[in-house]
Amino acid sequence: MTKPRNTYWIDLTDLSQWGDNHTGIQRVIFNVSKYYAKDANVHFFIFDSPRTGFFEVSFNVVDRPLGVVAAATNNDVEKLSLIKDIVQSIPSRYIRLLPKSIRIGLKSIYRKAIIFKENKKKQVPKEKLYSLDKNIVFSKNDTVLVLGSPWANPDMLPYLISAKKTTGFKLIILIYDLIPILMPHLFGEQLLEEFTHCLFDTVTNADGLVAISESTKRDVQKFMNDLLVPEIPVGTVRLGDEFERPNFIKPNIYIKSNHFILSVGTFEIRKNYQLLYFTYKEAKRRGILLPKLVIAGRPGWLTKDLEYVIRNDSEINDDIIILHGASDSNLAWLYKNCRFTVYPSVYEGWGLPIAESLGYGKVCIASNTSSMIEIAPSLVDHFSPYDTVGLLSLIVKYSSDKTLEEREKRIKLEYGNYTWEDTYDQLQQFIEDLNKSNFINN
Amino acid sequence: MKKRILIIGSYPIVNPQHGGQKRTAAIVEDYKKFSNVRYSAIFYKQFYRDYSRHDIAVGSRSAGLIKEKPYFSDVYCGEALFLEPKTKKRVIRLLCSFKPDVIQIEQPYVFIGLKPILDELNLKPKLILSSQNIEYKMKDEIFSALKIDTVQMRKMIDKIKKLEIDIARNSDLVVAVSREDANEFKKLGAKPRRIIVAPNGIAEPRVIHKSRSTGYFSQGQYLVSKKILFVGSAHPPNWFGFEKMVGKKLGFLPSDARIYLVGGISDYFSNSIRERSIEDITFWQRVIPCGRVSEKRLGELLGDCDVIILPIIEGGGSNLKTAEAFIADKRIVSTSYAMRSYEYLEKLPNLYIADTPEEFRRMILHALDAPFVKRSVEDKQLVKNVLWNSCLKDLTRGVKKL
Repeated sequence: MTKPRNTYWIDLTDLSQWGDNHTGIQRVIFNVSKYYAKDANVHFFIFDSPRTGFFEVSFNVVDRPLGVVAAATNNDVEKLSLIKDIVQSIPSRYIRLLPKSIRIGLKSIYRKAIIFKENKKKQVPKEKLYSLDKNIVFSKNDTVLVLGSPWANPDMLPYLISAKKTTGFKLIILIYDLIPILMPHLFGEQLLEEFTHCLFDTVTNADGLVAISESTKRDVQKFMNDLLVPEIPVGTVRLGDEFERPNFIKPNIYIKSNHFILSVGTFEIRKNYQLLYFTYKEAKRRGILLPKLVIAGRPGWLTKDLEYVIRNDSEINDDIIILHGASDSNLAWLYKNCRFTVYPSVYEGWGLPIAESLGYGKVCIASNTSSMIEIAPSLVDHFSPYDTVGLLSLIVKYSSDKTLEEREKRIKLEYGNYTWEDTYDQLQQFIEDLNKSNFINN
Repeated sequence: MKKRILIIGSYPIVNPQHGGQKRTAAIVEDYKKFSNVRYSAIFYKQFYRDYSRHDIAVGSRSAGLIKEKPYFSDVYCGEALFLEPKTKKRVIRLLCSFKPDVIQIEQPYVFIGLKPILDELNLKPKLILSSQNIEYKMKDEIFSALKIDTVQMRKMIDKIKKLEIDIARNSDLVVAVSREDANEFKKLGAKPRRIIVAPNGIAEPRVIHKSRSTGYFSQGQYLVSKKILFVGSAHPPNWFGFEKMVGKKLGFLPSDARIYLVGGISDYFSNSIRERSIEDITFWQRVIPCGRVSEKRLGELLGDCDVIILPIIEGGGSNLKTAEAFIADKRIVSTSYAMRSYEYLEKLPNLYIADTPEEFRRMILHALDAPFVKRSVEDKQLVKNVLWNSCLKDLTRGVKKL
């Protein structure tokens, strides 16, 4: 793969705010950046919000050993959840009537509560890992690569755009998904507006976009068409699924090896665990015995009521175990010892847990929407995320040892891990092609 | 001895804001040069904060009707002249004390109540109908734009049409704002020799100056280097035209371009675009609502802008904002419709005409990047025809001959 010829600047703002385990987006930034870090033409930067400036940092600030995810203290989470809930509970029709200055203030409090809550969970170390003394001056032939989500650092984007306008560097941004726009009802009130603002700024200023799936690519192209945004190059990369295999540590829950099925993902409404709940209820109704189900993921959007119901429904609360705060080592144990995995999400940008499952050699049954059908179409059984009976029949199908073994054999034979170096190569190819074409977004 | 001219309209002209007020105020100023002129409006107080002692506010009966159906306020004000005892008394007092030689009616509505009063008093002054639109057609277009179609609406439009026919046929002079409207009045029965075209114009050029900042402007942290200006009231043809020709999907604009909405049109969109669609959310990333601004601020906005847009596709009359755009000497993107009465200016440089939404948007982009061509001496002279003293010269001549 051709190495970068111009100077590359890679944004680490998102990653620098995380003190612990790399999950989701952070994993992508880290694993792709580590290949770029080998090149002398590549530099890294972060955006410092209080000083509203870009500062050069070394990759070492984020190249730390994986650690254990520790949950935030209950009190902190409760207080911050309360702030978030209060703001979310105000009906939007009333919020729109408020003066603009108050709306902006509420949005700011809400956003700070979210970020503060996330940072608390990440347990960012008190001492700074970098010093902000190398102020960056971008130049015309530079390529700036944003691998994180601009929405996570909305303060940065306007400054980056202004810098691009005055300097003329090439800006390339990775797009994960458009789900807050496609399904705003699955998120909190304010997210649609913020996300749409960021995405609009992204597509109208970037010189190139890279989507993490064909599905996301179609979604972003439709977004641009719908708003009459002129076409810009959109490439795709496949995310790596080679994962660090830490120690295997059994989590502190009552389950036996090979006697449970696993579902991994943030415990939020989009992940659709309500379908699993109803599937287990239907199984009970039909007298079908299912293995225990472990749902592993941190709490997320709009699932408090669901969690309450699952934990308090005496008919199934022994069968469904919700596990928040599992470490990588816990997850590794769960993957290794489950019978198979289920991924009932309504919509995804990619669907990393599907690839993870196959990487562990485990059968995965997953929803048939968006990018989930791209990962390994011949090895994954799909169902509609609204079809309880369809899901039930697949769970019953793979409860058979024979059927399970046959599919596992095929997975071992046919599924090859996609490496992060492959992802880096694809990304780099797109950038090279873009540079050759001299395309500039005006 | 100077002619005594009484002008009666439907809105006060103190501190004129909208096009109708500005036009009427300009006519009154012009008449003052050669006649004894008095202006009096029969109006609804809730719509106008500023008015003179000669203006007559309608009473509570009419106010109640207007509150219920604001789109017929002008009709109810016209009826009030005769149906409201207090209003009628004041009008009679005005007619008897001023003793006009000529009565000019601004918009036909006041004639609803004025005609029976003149018959009662057996007064037969010369009559001038001065109208900025073919009213029945404009009402029809407005209701179509608002998707209102009821039996009552149809009856009212019919009534207005009959009124316009009556007054057009019986006026000594009919003043139209454009050749198209003049033709319409002919069809309504006005005698061709009695029709005068007096397009809308503007007063002496407002001071247009650049604000102190140069190059990039900022909207928060964003750099804005291309300014597009749209000045207009909340009159339906303005927002309808904008929505049709520019639209709410503004991704086609460069990321450093902004549309500045000035006037009532700004309030209209601020109040109406509150939904959760991506078009509505991203609309405000390319639009800056300025609201109603002072003359000084408007001068600055005109001085700083790169392009003025005139996306008008209906509404009758001629556009004051077209005249203002030409005086500002900026690149203009306009529809053919907005150029009505100003066809003689179509050859001027920096003007781009477009009549489909796709073409209009394309022209905006083209205009933003196009080199600016300086006007020749002849061009500058031609533009001066948009000033009121030039626009009203035929009217003045006609009135003097009455």
